[in-house]
Amino acid sequence: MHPIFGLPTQTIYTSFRTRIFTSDAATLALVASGITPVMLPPIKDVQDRRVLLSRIDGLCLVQERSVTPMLYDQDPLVDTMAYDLKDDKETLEWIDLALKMQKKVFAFGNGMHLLNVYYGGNLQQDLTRHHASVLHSRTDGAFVDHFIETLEGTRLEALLGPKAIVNSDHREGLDKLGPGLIPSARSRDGLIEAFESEDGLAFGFQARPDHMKGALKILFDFMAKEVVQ
Amino acid sequence: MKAIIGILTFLQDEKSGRKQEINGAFAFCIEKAGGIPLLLPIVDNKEVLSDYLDLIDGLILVGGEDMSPLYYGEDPIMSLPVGLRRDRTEMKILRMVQEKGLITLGVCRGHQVGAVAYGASLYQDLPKQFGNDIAHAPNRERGYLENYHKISVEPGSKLYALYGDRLSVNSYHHQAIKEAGDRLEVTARSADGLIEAVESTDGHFIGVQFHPEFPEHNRKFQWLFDALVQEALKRMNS
Repeated sequence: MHPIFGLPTQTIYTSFRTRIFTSDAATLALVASGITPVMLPPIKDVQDRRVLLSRIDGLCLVQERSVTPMLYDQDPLVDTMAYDLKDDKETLEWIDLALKMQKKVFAFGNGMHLLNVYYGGNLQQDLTRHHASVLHSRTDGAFVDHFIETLEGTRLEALLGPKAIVNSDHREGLDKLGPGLIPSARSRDGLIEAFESEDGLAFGFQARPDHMKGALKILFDFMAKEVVQ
Repeated sequence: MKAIIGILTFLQDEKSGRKQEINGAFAFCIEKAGGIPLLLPIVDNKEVLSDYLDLIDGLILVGGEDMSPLYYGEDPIMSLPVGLRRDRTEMKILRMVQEKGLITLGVCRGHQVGAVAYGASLYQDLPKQFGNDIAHAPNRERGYLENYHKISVEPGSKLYALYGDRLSVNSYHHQAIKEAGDRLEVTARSADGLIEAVESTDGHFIGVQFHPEFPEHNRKFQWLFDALVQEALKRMNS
């Protein structure tokens, strides 16, 4: 049996059905690292959620939408990207239960932003207004690449060495980390690009799994090994 | 103890990338039936599928695009919107659930693929090969699934135990079962004679051509999910 990770889903409401989905690229990347992905739909009964979590090894967050700004005490900017409060609350409940059950949580892209918000941290909604020295996204939607430098003594440093090149396509970025989290990598303009929790249960990484080969494969391999231990 | 019902997803291509997706109504219907829904991505990998089967007590295959006719030994008669990755994944998991004896519900395409796994063949293009006396795929613009027709249910079947001899159903499908073969019982037909439901002779598979995930079209549709969860529980306890 492979390590099994649960991916909390996202929702879009249309006129005749409720679409519940996750990224196919992320599921395939997990499989490539020997992980079996399952998707966790919205479930009302907390005990039912516990039953599912008891059968899997951890959570993997690959959310594609922005985090609802009100969850970190900010109003949305005039040009804020799409967000969904109900989905965010749903995922926060999965995170809360998983961590209480001592399950590991690995979060990527906007999922990493949400994980920081769960810990009580906040975000910058538009990096172009705050961090101009490294390009974190392009207006034409194409990905950019930039360096990250890992912080000494972190699990990430042990995995990636002192620096790595990562993909980047994000308008929001981390601002303050929540209590219990420590930064594990920064871009050269100082933006936090990765974090770990002090108790070793939570890991956040800004780069997107569905657009990255090298560094992320290492991270998914790491996910698999972590839960086997 | 509750039964965990796995729901295999479908693949949806979008500008922002391909999605693993289901109609959330399936999960809501399973929850309402007292089961726990777990969504299973389409992954064409036997080890992953084997992990799925260790997690679940029952399985649902949902609707979607046409199935490749290669699986029932025919060349395509027209350009069909097929997805081989999903075909391969579903055929693999169906063979595995047959061996394991898990109760499986097939809906629309899931009913057709499930039947093919039990040796059936399909009409590749229903209007051309069968005719169109009953609108099995009403115009989406004019109401998608709201166009009801009746089906007659065979006495002695699981479906009959739920619904009796008649049921009003919704309809939206381009293909359908042609020859059911000898490992399936035909358990319902529409007035034009088309196969609308099947049950496997080994007792593990139920297929329905209609879409029970829309209980707002007929409140009795929920009963099918109730029965699935009850059957999964019965097997867990036996």
